[in-house]
Amino acid sequence: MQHSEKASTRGRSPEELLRQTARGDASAFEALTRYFAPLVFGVALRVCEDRSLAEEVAQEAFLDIWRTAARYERDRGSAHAWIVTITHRRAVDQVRSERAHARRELHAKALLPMVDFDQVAEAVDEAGDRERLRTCLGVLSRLQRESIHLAFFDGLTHTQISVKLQVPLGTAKARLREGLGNLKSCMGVGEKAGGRA
Amino acid sequence: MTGERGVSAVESAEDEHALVGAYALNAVAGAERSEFERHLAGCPLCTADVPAFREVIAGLARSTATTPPDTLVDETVARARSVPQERARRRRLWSMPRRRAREG
Ligand SMILES: [Zn+2]
Repeated sequence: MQHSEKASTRGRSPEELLRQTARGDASAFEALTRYFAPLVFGVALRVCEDRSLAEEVAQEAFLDIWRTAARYERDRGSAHAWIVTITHRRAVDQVRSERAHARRELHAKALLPMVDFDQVAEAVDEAGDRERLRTCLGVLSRLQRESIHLAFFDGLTHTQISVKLQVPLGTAKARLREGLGNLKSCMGVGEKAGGRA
Repeated sequence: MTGERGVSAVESAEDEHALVGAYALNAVAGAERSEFERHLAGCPLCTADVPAFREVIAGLARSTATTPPDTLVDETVARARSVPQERARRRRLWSMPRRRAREG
C-alpha cells in the first residue's frame, strides 16, 4: 500500500498538502488523509487498543487537522510531527476519559508486554535513519526508555508513570525530559528546523 | 498521595522547565497542562525543546503504522465537508488544536 499512498500525493510533500488543506483544498485534504491514515490509525490503535475507538479517534484527529491546518507552521516542525501530536493527544484524551469513566485502572495496560524498541527502529524507512534511531535508543537509560514508552505508547500521564515505575514524580518528569533530550541530540533534531524537505 | 518516598522534597527542588518532556509527550493533563502552557509562552528554552522533542516522538511513532479500515478516508473526507475551517493567523507558539468544549 506504500506505493499507492505515495502516488496519491502526486509528488507533493506532506507540508505542501497541509498548506493546500489550510486554503480549503478538499482534494489536498483527501490526499493528506490517505497518506497519513496508516500512521494516524496506528497511533490511535496503539493507545486505544480498540479498532472502532481508534477509527473514531483517527477521524476526529483528521477533522482537527482540517479545521486547524492554518495553524501549522512549517518552520516549527514537520507535518509528521504536527499530525502525530494531534493524533496522540486525541487518543490519550479518549483513553483517559474512558478510564476515568469506567473506573478501569491501569491493570490491563500494566500486563501488556513492552513494545520492543528494536521494532520501533525497524519501522523507519531509510536504512541510515533506522540505524541511527537504533543506536540512539540504545543510549537511553532503562528508566528513560520505559518512561517515554509508557507516555507515548500507553498514553500514561507523568503521575501514572511515576506510580507504575515506582519512582518519585520528579524523577518521572526528569527521565522523560532527559530521554527526549538525549534522543534529540543523538539524532541531530533541531539543528535543521523543519525536518527534511 | 505517596508520602513514603519523599515526593514533595524532590518536587520542590525541581526546576520550572521540568515538565517540558512530559508536555511534549501529552503526558500532562488538566490544569497542569494549562499551567505549563503559560510557562511555555514565556520560555525560549522550552519553546525550542517542544517542537524538537515532537520530531523525535514522530520518529518513534512510525512503528505503529497499521493498515486502516477501508472506510476511514472516505468517511473523514465526507465529514469534513460540514466542518468549517479556522482562518489563518500568525501565532508565536507551536500550537495544537484545543479539545472542543463538549465532553464524551
Ligand atoms: Zn521552560
